[in-house]
Amino acid sequence: MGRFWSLVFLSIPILGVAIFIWSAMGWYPLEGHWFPERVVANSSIDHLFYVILALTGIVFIGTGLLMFWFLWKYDGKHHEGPVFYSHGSHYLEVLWSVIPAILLLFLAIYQMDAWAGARMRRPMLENGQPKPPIARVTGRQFEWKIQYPGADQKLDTADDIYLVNELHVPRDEEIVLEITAEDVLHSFFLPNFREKQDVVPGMKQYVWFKPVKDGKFDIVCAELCGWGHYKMKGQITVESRSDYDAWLKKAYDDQELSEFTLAEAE
Amino acid sequence: MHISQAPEFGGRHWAGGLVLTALIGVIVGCSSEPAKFEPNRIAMHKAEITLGITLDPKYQVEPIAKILSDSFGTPDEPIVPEVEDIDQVFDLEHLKMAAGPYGSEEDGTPRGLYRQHCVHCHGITGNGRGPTAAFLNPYPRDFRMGKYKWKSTKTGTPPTHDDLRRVISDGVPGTAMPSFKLLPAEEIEALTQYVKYLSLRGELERNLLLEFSDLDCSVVKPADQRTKEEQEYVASLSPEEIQEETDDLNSAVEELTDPEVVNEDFLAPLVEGWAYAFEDVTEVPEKPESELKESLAVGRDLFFNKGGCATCHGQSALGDGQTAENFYDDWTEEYYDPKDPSQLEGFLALGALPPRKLDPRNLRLGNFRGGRRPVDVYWRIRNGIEGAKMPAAQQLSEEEIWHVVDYVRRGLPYDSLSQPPEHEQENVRVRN
Repeated sequence: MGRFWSLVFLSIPILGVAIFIWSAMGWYPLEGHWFPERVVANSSIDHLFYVILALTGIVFIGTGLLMFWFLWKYDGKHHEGPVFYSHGSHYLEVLWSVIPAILLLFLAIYQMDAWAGARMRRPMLENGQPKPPIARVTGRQFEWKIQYPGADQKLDTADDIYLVNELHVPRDEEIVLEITAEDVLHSFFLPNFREKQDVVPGMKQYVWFKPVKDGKFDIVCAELCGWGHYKMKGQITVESRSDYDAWLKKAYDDQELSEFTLAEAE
Repeated sequence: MHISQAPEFGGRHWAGGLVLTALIGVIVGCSSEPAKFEPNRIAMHKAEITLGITLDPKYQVEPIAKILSDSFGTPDEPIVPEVEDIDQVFDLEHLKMAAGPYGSEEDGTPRGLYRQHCVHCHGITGNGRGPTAAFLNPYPRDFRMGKYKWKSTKTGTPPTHDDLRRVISDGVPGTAMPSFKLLPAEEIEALTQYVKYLSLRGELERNLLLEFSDLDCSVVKPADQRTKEEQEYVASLSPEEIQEETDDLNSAVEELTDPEVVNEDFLAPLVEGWAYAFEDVTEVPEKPESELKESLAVGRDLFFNKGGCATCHGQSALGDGQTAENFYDDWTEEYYDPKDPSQLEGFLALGALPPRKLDPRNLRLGNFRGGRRPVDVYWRIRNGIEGAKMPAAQQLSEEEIWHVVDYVRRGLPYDSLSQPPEHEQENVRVRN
């Protein structure tokens, strides 16, 4: 056997990297295993992902090669020299503590702007007030309840529009959503918008983004919330302002349906 | 120094493990039995208690099961009974999409939608007693009575196709029934038809049970299972008379199980009700123009006085009016009589869910189970809610109902007790 094991261990990082590249390129049969299409202008999350991927990728490949080299060189059947004990090397220990520490510190500082953009710099109105949410999204086992404030722009008033699993937003505008949960922990996840936030019952939170591309995209739950978690799925539609206004008006009119004749029943 | 080597690759241990894995796979994979519809044991037990009899397996229980499987098939292989107008209720193509185990055809047509989406709450028979049912409040609907709450038709008539479709699509807010809005229209159609299929099957089973439980089976029972009265009765008969009674019983069962009789006398009236439900829709006249403020004042007056709403929904509409009396819905009252709870144990042993009190709705949550459109609220008030204790408001005119609709939808405040103010945490940290 001998060097067989060193080759087996080498095959693990090679296989890992190969699968990774394969899916990143979207080659058969690993299509659709990489990022879904991004529909917001802000690419800071993607950028952070790639920076961390590059760092960890280099470390992963380096460690794999190093382990292979040791196994190969010091194989019992081929290595004739005396055994050398390296345990307790002060220099090595300082080296492998300080370098990762510097890398982590770099990441901690490097990501601060992305974090602030996602969590602190809420879009403002011209008068300096925080922009009010366009809708409230409430997670509930197992659906997303959507509540639009209606004509008066205030939530929890008589002209609110109530929908389920169906969120529409206008394109090219800063969108603020109020998100909360009704029963248990959920996580509001918009894969195409690079937006993910746990929602907590009784806690009001805001997320914001600026969609730049029309289309229908998934709203999913990213926190195991019960047996139906996997099918807790909504749909967000990005459309032009005029389409959005027309849709909202229609939703309101449907909700205010005040007449029903037999002809409609058939 | 000898350094021990890792064990050699391969060998008999590996092969043995593979064989064992394959064996377990074969056993587990092949031993699952096809799904079966359960008999309505609750209704059977109820009939036994009310009539003071024991149903005879051969003459009363098995014939019903046979008729049902002949008319409706099995959960894997549904059949469309050959009755007039059945094509207005469901068709085989859609039933097959909803029935059977979860999967899809080679061309991508989905299969087993009911088992994918509904079965864990509503159960394979549609009895509302799937594995998760016991944890839910309210309990999932038992389809077998054919009664539905959220519909546009009067109490006693089936819901329209559109009523059922809307419940599946929008869900029922305030209950565990979620929205299936994102399913393709064809799949919602298949599920709607399958709900009707289970309802129709359940209703037929009930009606047959009424008929079969009326048969006197005392002569054919084993002697040790007869009641005292039956024993005396059988003892008083001569052997010829016993033979005559047995023949009568056999011919009665034969007649009832005749497919033509089943279709004509039992199924046809049920199918007609479902097929033409849309003709029974309560029309909603256009809402009269009125100043909202005045309408609310009139509605408020009706709510407390002529409408009588406050007696149950409470002085402040919190649903706390009728606290003295214990109400239960029709599905519970079938096996539970709050005035005589002594029989409950027997039903619970048969799988009935522990009774839950029916509370009048708290109207201040802004939560409308049957839909918040004005027409929905109008139907609730005009027709009442079938199966629940909400009565139809016969005493109110159309215009008056519209005022109450306004009051219920617009005139009640969101209540801070039932809807506590939320934690106003923003995503900003205030630094000093």
